[in-house]
Amino acid sequence: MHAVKPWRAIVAAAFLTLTLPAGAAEPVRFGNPAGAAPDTPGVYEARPNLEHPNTADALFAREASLGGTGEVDAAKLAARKAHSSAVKDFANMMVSDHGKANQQLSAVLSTNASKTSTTPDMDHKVMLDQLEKTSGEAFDVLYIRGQVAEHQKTVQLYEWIIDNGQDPRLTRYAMNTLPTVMRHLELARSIQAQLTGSAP
Amino acid sequence: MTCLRRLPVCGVALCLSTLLVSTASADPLPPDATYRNLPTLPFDTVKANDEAMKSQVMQRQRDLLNERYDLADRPIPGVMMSGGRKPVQAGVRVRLGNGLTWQSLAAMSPEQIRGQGALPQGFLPVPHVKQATGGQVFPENEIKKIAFQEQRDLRRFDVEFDLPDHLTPEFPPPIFLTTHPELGDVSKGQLLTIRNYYSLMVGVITPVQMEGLRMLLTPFPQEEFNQTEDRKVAEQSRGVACLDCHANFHTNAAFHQTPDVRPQAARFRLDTTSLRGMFNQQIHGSKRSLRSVEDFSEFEQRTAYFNGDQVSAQRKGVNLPNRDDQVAMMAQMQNIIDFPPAPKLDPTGHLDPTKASPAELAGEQIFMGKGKCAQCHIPQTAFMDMQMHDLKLERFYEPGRTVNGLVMLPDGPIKTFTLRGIKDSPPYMHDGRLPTLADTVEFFNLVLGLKLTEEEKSSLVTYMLAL
Repeated sequence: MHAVKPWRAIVAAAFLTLTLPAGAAEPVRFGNPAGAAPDTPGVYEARPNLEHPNTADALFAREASLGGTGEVDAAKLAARKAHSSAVKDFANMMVSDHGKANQQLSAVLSTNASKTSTTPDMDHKVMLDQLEKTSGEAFDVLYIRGQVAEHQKTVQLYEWIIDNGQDPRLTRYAMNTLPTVMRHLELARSIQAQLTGSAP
Repeated sequence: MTCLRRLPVCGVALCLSTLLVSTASADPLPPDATYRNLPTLPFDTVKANDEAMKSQVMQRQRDLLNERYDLADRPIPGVMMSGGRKPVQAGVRVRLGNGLTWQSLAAMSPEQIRGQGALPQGFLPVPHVKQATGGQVFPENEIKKIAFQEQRDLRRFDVEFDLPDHLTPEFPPPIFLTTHPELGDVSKGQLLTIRNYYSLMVGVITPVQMEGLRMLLTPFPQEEFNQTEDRKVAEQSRGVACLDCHANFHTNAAFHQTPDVRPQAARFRLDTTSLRGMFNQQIHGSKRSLRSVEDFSEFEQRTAYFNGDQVSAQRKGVNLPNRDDQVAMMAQMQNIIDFPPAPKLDPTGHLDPTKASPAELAGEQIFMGKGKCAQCHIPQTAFMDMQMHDLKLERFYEPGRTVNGLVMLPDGPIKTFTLRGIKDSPPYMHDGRLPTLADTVEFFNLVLGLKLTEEEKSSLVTYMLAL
């Protein structure tokens, strides 16, 4: 196996800048074109503008936005109402981390053709209602169990878009954010273990 | 639960924590995180797009492999694979990070390694060449042989095989039969196909075995090689045969992805396993832990060959061999495939001291003792323990990073693999992430915290070459 010749890398980079829309940087999107949106500009000439979203991108835009704002809403509540300091610290981290992630996602979506709704959906409304009505240790347990479930779902959602999505800006967002989401999940599981005696 | 006293009882809120969990699943994940989508574009368009990005896809994978491994052709002098046609590759190939040595790495705790991101990249899960699509990818030697003998096309238009040839098994592999130890390699240097198997094997095997072999060589539709528009081969294809990957009942290093995981980005790569020694193996498959080779043979075509997707397979055409008849015959053929001869091993799986070299004997000592290898790779049971084990490599790295479309997650329990004839089947581990046996010694040295010396590591490799 030979080492990559430098000129090959230069040619490849030049090819990439020619074929990709201006402003799209690494990583390049190598999805299965069988899942591309049929109205993707250039796809019938094998020069697709990948920043045109497919259905997975559109759905991810909605689900990730809802999840992100739901996290911040619940976390703000928990930062106020949490009984234990571990949960309070966790909630503050959620406010900060998800606030940042939400901004990054919004920045991508503002240039993406997908439109998103920011009205909280029924699930998040119900969750917030229940959290409003609980306090003390019970609040902590309720919140942290919900956080484990939410982060499990988010991990799976982000993994899904990484290979099913088309817009490289969305997949890049998901790739960059996923390790943090997994760290949150690990932490939520360990706090849940502390509070309830469950396996970590 | 104390929470119940604080809330009005209503039909829905029986228990708050279960309610919270159940509302989370009321808005479930998208269905195509589990189920395969139908193509949204015409076949010719998909093909054109795949072909246009193919060279970049291959370059990306080449760059990754070169970053992780030293892929040079450096054989061990005088050590050949069991067919005598291909040398075994020497040395550790996994590259270390800057400023690290194997000793300094072994001196760090798992937490330190994880915290500093110091785990060699080559120890991490290795991605499929095109993770988003996945599917079976065949090496060039198999593609050429099948094209010549059967005029059946195993070449994909979207990807190529990514490993250099010298880091794969010899081709075609030799075939050793438990029913005829006196004959040795019965392959006559040929690849068994539907076009030559009868004349090669008549007089050597039974009618049941012959019929089993025929079915193992018969192509059937598969996820990427079929007659629908959802395929990655240029023309409508007759499909793939079992022995297209398990060439001559061994492996040609063709790879795929695990059927047992979703979504797509989480599916780890699967290196083809050898079918030698099936007669002793009691668990099969990466996660499914199928309990017999009959189960495996019966089931594999039901799910489009290792995609874990009976829905998609149904559309492309399933072959449903019947359990009591066809499957039994396929299993009976697979069960007579022996390991290659290991003349230095006695019947209990230990080295005969009158035949083994001092280095091999020293290696065996480590294998049984300080190396802890024999705890799972039990010599007496063909160096297996019929168990799946979780090595918990995630102690050494933070999961969640994406590399070439693969999200690197914890591997979870994987079955112990046999070490008989192990020099014949690079690359190593379930996904082929370790190019040589020397790499496997470094890997387990770290994972099990063995603190082996250089001499101990080297003698372990020498020992494994004799198995």
